[in-house]
Amino acid sequence: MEGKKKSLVGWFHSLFPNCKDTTLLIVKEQETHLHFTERFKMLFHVYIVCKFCRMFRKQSGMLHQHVHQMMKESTLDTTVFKLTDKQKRDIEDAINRQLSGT
Amino acid sequence: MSASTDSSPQQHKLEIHNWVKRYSDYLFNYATYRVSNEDEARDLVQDTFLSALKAKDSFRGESSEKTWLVTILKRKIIDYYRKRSVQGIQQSIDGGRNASHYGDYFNEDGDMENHWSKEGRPVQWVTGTSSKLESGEFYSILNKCLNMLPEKWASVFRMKNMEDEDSEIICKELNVSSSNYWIIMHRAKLQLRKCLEINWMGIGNK
Repeated sequence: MEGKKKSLVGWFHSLFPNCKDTTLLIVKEQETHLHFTERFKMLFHVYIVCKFCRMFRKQSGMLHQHVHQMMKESTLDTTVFKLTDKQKRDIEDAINRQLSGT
Repeated sequence: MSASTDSSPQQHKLEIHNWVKRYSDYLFNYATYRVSNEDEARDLVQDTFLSALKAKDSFRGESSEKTWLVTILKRKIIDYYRKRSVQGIQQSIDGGRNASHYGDYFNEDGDMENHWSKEGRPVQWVTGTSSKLESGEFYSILNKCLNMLPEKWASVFRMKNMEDEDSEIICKELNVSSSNYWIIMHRAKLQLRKCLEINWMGIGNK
């Protein structure tokens, strides 16, 4: 009976993860699917319990969006970063050296 | 049905003498975003061309020259992450700092153990600030923040979020166990969020 009570308390507690565990679940959520109960615990904490974890979730989402946007820009033909003419000539030279060497 | 002619795909050819003119800026731009260092990016571009020359007989013309070169560059970038990650190995997973605890963010004892500490908790970001940001600005702030992470964490973060690699491949390439992967990602994001809050949003101490 005691044991049953204890496990019930433990189960009850496990419904309320702390912020450290919740932020880990948020990080996992952003990459993979959470198990139903993990997702429930995380959302409960985020929406009912803790505004800081809510901010963490939102802000790390923004981080992702910005990185994603930046990486999209990195594959455009209009380049932000360009080689100088000298650097290009050096690369040409290296190619030609290898071409004539073989 | 003239299946034989219709189904034969367009064959691409290599035009080595045009490589630098046509693709060097594209590849350089691509690499710079991913390794955040223009000197390293330049070297990677040159290495890519030289490796491509060596492998030119294996080019089958199924994809374009550019796609083929980008594939080679991608492989070089992953090698670069791996090397950096090994160089940083002496730092251990925690970078020698704040070993194995989360004290910068969460209370370490008391009633509120493992809940946000006063200093570590997030602060509301003023939305709208972000829309003013040029991508170049975000790039330099993110780089600054990534450079403050231990090498291994930065490599894991880059491989996942920039190269969009599968986490299993990242663990294999960077020699990280799957449980350490989540610890690294968790700690990296806690630190990056805080760093962006300070340097991007201008909240808190510089």
